[in-house]
Amino acid sequence: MGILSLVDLCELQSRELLDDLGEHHCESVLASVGVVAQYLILAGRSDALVRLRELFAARVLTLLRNGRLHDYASAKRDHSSSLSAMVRLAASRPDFSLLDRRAVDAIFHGCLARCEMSPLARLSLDANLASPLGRDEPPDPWSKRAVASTVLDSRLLHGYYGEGDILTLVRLDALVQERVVDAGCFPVRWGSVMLYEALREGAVAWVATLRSLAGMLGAPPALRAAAYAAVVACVNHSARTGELVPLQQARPQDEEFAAMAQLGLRLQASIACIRCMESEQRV
Amino acid sequence: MNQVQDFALSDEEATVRYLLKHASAVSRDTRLIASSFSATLGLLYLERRALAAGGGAGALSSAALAALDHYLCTDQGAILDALDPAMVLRVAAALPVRSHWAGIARARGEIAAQFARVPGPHSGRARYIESLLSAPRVEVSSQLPLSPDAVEVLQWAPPQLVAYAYELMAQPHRLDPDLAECLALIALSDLRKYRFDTACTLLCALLHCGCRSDYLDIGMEFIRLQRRSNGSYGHVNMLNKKNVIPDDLDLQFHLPFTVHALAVQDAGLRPLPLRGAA
Repeated sequence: MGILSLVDLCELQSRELLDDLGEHHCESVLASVGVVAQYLILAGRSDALVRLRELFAARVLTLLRNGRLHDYASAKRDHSSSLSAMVRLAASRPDFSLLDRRAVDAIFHGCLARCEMSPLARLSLDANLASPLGRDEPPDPWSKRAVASTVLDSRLLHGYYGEGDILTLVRLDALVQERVVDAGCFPVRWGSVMLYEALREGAVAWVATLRSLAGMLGAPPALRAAAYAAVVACVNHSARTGELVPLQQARPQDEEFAAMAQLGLRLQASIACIRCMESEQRV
Repeated sequence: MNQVQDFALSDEEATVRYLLKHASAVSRDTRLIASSFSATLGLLYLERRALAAGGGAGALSSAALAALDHYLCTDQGAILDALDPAMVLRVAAALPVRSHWAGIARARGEIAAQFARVPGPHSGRARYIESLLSAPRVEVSSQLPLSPDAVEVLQWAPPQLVAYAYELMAQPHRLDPDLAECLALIALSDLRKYRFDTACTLLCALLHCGCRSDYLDIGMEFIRLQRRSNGSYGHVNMLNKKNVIPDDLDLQFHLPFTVHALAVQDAGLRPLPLRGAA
């Protein structure tokens, strides 16, 4: 019951967000749409989120065709991750055409010419594009490269990790499920440490995302139980209040983005919670 | 095994030199005496490791012990006030069986007398001190005392975790595997954030209880990889402006980390109990 009402709420808020993006040139709305698009891609196998994903894909394709996404390619801030996620959703539409692909290339070149994208973001853009655009080709080689350069990166061991690393774990988990890479590649123990830290920080979206990965079935049962309880509490709270999953206070390094993309981040956390509860029901 | 690990495992002599430097720096400065105690404890751990590896009884610590013993014999009151009682007791407990140092024995006696005046029952660190004052335990109890719930432990703050770790070291017992795994992953998280005191205390406690797990192995490997070329442990990112760099980085960061690291490795050398361990 909690999931269904939260799905409806996500659809309602997403429509408003997409309307806003279509009507106004506003970076904070773009950032919000971008983070939602990223999580919808991650939740590619979710049944509960099919309608929301289709809604996003259709609307983003329209935005691409009327040049709206091009506007953002020349924005001051680096929006490559948002753009790549949106483009990937648009490209998942059966009516995505060669002309649309050319429009995407124009966005690419706009970004590259301005040197707005960091190498990792560029790689992410390529990786995101490779899969939908080559639907009949062998599994995404870019993802493997991203795995090699990021998951095995010493950041996991020694330093700060961010959402990029968690998203890479998600991608790796998908590759394991598709048997593209060996299951032993999934770093369940470091994933458990990340899950514990996300739990302590109250980062609901990260908790729900990590908890729903198949590779995390090997995490300590108590950790899985604590994470699931946190997700259920959030969903129940949303069902009671009729609001999206609330966000905990952002870490200092995330404050600026959190302020800018608050609605998107709440949608993102809600989508992650839906996905997490759905995956638990399947186990 | 990679090159970093090879280096970390093979260059123990540098750690000996590093510890000897600090152990011999005894003066009237109470901070230096505390550091000397700490470094001496590290040397005692290294000697014990050499013995366990089949080497002869070393005498790395004897010069430092002689100097400390002399100070404790002459000016015990003032020195003891400045020392961590658990550190003194750990040094006393780590001494070879037949050795006798009058000053350290007196210091231990004085701490015991002071502790006897503290009303019990004791918990956390006080319980640990009590255990150091009593006869050493050799067996891990197979009894399962009332253990905290693992899900609850995941919510604990560092002081609670450390207090629980001391309880475990005071009374090692079989741990629920899920709880042991969670404690080891908390230690890993603390290591990543360089809260090495909490992390190493937790790892020591788990090892005292006879726990072995992949999480614990990763933690120990992480610690081994912190060894620097001069033999001390720990790396500080000077470029990270959020890091508060202490005035005396060596005494306040590297030396404590080094002794903690050696304590974990020493605890890891304890033989696995025949029964009752998780």
